[in-house]
Amino acid sequence: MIIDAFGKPCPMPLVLAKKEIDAGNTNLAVKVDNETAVKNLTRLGSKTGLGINVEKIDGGYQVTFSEGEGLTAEEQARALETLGVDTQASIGSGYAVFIGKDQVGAGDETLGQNLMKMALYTLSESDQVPASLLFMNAGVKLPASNEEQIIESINALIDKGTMVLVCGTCLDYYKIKDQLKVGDISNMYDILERMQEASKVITL
Amino acid sequence: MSYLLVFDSTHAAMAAQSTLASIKPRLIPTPRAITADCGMALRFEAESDQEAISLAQSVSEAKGQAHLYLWPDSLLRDL
Repeated sequence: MIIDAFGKPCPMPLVLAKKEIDAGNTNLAVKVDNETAVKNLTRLGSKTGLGINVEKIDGGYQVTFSEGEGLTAEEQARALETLGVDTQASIGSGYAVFIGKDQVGAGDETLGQNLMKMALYTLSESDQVPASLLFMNAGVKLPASNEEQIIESINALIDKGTMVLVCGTCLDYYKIKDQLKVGDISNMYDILERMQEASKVITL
Repeated sequence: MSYLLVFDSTHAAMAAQSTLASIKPRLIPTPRAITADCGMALRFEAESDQEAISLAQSVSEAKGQAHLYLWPDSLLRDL
């Protein structure tokens, strides 16, 4: 099976490939038109233990997954280098949005909460959605909110490929674990890993 | 159909959000085509222009001047 991800913005090529691999389709090739996507897909290969082959094709690259030994990180880097892919530049993939409060900025609380609502809406309408949306401390009140608009916006982001992680410790502290409406309950390890993977982290 | 209610003040927009809670308006940044300011606006659904206008009128009487647009930026009426 070949996925044509030409023209698809980050993180879509990765999301499409991951969906197929999760569904058990391991004989998979993805055509992409940028180097970041090649790097992301290569990393996905090593994470899932699948073998990876990268070829240069007209207008971009074709990344082929197959059952068998995955390449080591070193082998991958070498393979990419021979194709002229700069493995040193822009290590990150996509951007992460970190939300550690239930409002934007500091100041009036009502204004800040309304700004947060608008920010999530605007983010969800954007063509360039974040690779991950990370909620911690009072920020976890947002995916547990009774405000329909907030839940709607976070769901729209998930539909567009954003990974939503919610700090479980924080939900527990605020005693709202049972009110979580959207997102995956997560932990410090995964949330920090997402930040490290991102090319930039935006804190609201 | 979608409509947009734009206010002359942030306070009015936030207050109108509560007034109109029953029709579940969405609080959004005013589209760039309407204003360069980062204003707040309410997006809501109504069956007809008439229904939207009367909703908008009821709010503007209580909350002050408002402008009703057919989503996203075609002006319907100043209230």
